[in-house]
Amino acid sequence: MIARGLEYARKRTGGAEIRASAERASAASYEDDKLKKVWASQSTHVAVRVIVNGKLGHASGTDPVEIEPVVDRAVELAAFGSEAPFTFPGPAPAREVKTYDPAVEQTAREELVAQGGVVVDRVKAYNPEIKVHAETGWSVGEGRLMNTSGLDVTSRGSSYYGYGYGDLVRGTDMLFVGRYRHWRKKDYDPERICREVIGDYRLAERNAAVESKQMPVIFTPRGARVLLMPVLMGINGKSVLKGDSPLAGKLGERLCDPRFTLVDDGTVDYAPDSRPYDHEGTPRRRNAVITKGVLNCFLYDLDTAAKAGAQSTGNGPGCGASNVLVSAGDTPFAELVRSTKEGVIVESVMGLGQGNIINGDFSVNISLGFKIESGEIVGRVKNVMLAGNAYDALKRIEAIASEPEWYGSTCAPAIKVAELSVVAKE
Amino acid sequence: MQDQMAEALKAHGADYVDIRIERAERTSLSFRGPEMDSISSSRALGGVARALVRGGWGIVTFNDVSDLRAQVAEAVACARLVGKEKSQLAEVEPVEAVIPAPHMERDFRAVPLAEKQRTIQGYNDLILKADPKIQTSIVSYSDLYRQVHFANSEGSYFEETRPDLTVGMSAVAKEGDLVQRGIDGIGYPAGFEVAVGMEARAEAVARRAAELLAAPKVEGGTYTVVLNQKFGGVFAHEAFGHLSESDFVYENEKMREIMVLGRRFGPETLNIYDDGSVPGCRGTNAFDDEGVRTQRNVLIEKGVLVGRLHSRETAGKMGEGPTGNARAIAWEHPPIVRMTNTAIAPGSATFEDLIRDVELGLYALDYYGGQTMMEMFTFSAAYGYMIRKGKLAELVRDVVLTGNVFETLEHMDMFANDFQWAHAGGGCGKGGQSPLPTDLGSPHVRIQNVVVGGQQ
Repeated sequence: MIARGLEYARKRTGGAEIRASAERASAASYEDDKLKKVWASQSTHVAVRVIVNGKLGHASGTDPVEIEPVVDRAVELAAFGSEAPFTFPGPAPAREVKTYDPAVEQTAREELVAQGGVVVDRVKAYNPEIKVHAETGWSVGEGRLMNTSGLDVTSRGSSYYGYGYGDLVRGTDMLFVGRYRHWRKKDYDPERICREVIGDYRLAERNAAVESKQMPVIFTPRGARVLLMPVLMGINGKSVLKGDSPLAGKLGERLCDPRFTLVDDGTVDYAPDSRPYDHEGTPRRRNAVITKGVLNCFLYDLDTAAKAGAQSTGNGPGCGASNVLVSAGDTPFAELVRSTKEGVIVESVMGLGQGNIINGDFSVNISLGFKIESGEIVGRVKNVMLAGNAYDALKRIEAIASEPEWYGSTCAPAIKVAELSVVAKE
Repeated sequence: MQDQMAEALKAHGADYVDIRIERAERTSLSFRGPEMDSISSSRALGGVARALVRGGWGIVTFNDVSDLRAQVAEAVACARLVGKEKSQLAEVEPVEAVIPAPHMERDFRAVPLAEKQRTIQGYNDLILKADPKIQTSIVSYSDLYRQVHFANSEGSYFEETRPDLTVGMSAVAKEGDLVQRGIDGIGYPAGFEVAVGMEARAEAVARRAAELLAAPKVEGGTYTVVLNQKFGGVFAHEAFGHLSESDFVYENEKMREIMVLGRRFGPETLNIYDDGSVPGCRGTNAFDDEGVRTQRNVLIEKGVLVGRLHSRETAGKMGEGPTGNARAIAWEHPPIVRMTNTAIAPGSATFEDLIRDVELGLYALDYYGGQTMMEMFTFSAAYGYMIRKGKLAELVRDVVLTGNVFETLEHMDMFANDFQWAHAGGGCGKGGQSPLPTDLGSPHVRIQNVVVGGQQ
C-alpha cells in the first residue's frame, strides 16, 4: 500500500515521504486502591509529507489502505506550505539499536494486573491511609518509512511501562508521591517503585519549617527537570533559527559549570526514545550537546538544518531531543545531603513551563521537597516556592551526584546548586 | 452506522456495554515569525467499546471499525479480569437523537485554504510590525469537525456534530537577554466567522509584549489581588473545578470528607457552577459521551458546596444524580469526569469598588499557564498592574500566584457585576486527554492575602 501510495505521489510532487505504522497496546490500571480497568487498543496511522514547487505539505489519516486521498490532501496543502529547501534523504546506514523485546507482547493481561497489585499492596502495607494508583502496560508497533529518494526503512519497537503513586490526605493537606518507569524491554520492577514511593513518604512524615532566604538546593534526578527543561528548549535548532533561544550564537561558549555534560542519544539500547532512524529517515546518533560546560551543537531536523546551513542531527521532525543523558558526578547523593548545613531537596514542582522558561527563569511551587538541617533530612517542606534562572544555577553547581537515574527518556543524576532563592509563605 | 452498532450490542454477556465511533477532520496552520511554519490536515475514523462486568471496566480502542462485535467481545473479556463487585450506574432514560452542528455562518470546511492562510498571515504581519522590539510571533489556527456516534446496551443512540475552531496568537519581544510574551486567543463551536476581525487583538498582544520588557518584576510577597475575568475563570476551573470532579472523590473517603456537600468554602457571595448547555461556549454539547443530557450544575451556592460533577458510575456509586460530565477528547479515549463551561457567578460590585480601598495590591490579568496539585495551585498571569492607594499603577511582569485553594476561596471577598465568558483557545488536560474544549467565565474577583512569587 505504501509503495503504491509513493508511486501515486511521485507523479504529483517534487518529493514525497510516507510513514505508516500499526500499534497494539494493553494496560491494567488501579485507581484508589482498586483495579478499575483493563485496556486493549489497536491503531493504524499514515502520515504523508510532500514537497511541491519547493513547499511542504503534510497530511495524515488512520486508514492504512486508502493512502492516495491522504497524498491528495498533502498536495493541496503544499500550495500554501512553508518553504522546504531540503530533499528527502536516500538510504543511509544506521547504528544497530535494540528497540524490540518479544517478551513485551507476550505479557498476559493477568500479569499486568498482578504487577499493579504489588504496588497497591506494598504501599498500603506501609500506610493503609494512602490511596494508591498504579498502572502497568505495554505497546508494540511496526512502522515503514519510504520516500521518493529510495529510502525504505522498516522498524519494530516495544515499550513496557509502569507507574505507582499515592495520595495521602490529612485534613486539607494532600501529599502525592509517585514514580514512573518506561523501557523498551520488559524490565519493570514494581518492587522498586514501591521502595521509592514509600521512601519518600517516610521522609515526608514530618513537616519542616523553612525561612525565606538563599540556600543550597539539591535537585533529585526527577527534580532536575527544573534546570533541564529550559536547556532542552534552548538547544532545539528551530528555536535557535527563529531567534527564540537565548543560546543562539553561543556555540563554543562556556554555558555551565565544567562538570556539566549533556548528550542527546537516540541510540541507547532499549531506552524510551531510541530507534535506528528518526521519523524522517535520518540515522539517529549521539549528539554531544554540552561537554564540560561548553555548548557544542544544536539539534536539527532536515527542514531546519537546511534553513540554518547545518546537517540534520537525527532529531526530526521537530528538532526535539531524543534520550537526554546528563553525566554523573563523583559525589554520592548521601554526601550531597551530608555536606549541606541548611538546604532544600527538590523532588517535584508545580508551575514549571509557566513564565519565561526558554530564558531559563523559573518560579515554581515545590510540590514535594525536603528540608536539610546539619546534613540530615528533617522533613517535608510545604508552601515553599523556588525562584531563579536555570542557566545561572547551572553555572553555580556545587556538586553532581554519582548515581544517574532514568526518568522517562531522561537519565540524570541529582544536582546540587550552591544557592537559590527559596520563598516560604508566611 | 446505527445498525452496525445496534447489532454489535446484542448478546454481549456484560452488565453494560457502549460503543462510540467518531469521524474527525482537522485543518491546522501556523505562522512562526515571518514564515508559514506548518500546515496540516488530519482525518481519523476510530472508536472505543466499553464493557462493565461486576463493577469492572474493559476498554478497547480501535481504528478498524469493520467488526464491532469482535471489539465488544474483547472489551467484555478485559472487563471480566477486573470486576469483583456490583455494577452501579446512575439511571438514565434511553435517548435517541441526531444533533446537528451548531449554527455556522461560514462552515469552515467550505472556506478556501487560501483565505484561512491570508487571515492568519494578516494577524501575524500586524504583530511583527507593531513594535521594533517584537522579535518573533506564533499565530496558529485550527478547525475540527467531529462527528460522534454513540450507542449503548440500554437502547440509547445519538449522533452529535461538534465543530471547534481556535485561533492562538503569541508575540515575543526581546531586549538583550530579556524575552517577554503577549498572548491571546479564541475558541468557539462555530464557523469561520469567529476567526475574522481579530486585528486589534493582534496589535494589543504585540504592544503588551513590548511594554512588558520595560516593566519591573512584581516584588514577591502577600497581596490583595484582583483577578480579571479570564484569570477568575481559570481559578474556578483549575483550582476548584477539578476538585468537583467526582472520580477524585467517590472511592476516596478522605476526599469525601473534604468535599462533603453542605460544607462552607467561601463567603455568602461566592457562587460557582459548571454548565454544559450554554449556547456558544466551547464546552457545550447536547449529550456527554455516555448519552447523558448536559445541564447547569451548581457547585458552590452562597459559599456552600452543593454539587459536583459526575459520570454515570460516580453518580451511581455516590447515590447522586447524573450531571452529564463524562467527556472524551477523541475516539481513542473512554470518557472521564470533566468540566464543561465553568464559572464564578457575578456579584454586584463595580471594578472601582474592588480596588478603591486597596492600599497596595496587584491586578492580575489573563493567564499564561496554571497547574494544581490538589489543594495547592500555581498560576501565572500574562501580565499585571500594581494597585497603589486605590488606583491602578505600573505594569508588572512575572506575576505568579500560589496558594491553597480552600484558603483562597475563603479569602475571596468581592465579586464585580461584569461577568464574561473567556471563549479562549487551548483547553483542559486530564488523564492523558488534552486539550478538551472547555470554557471559563467570571467577573472581576478580589482575593485577600495571596502569595505572589518572585525573586527576592
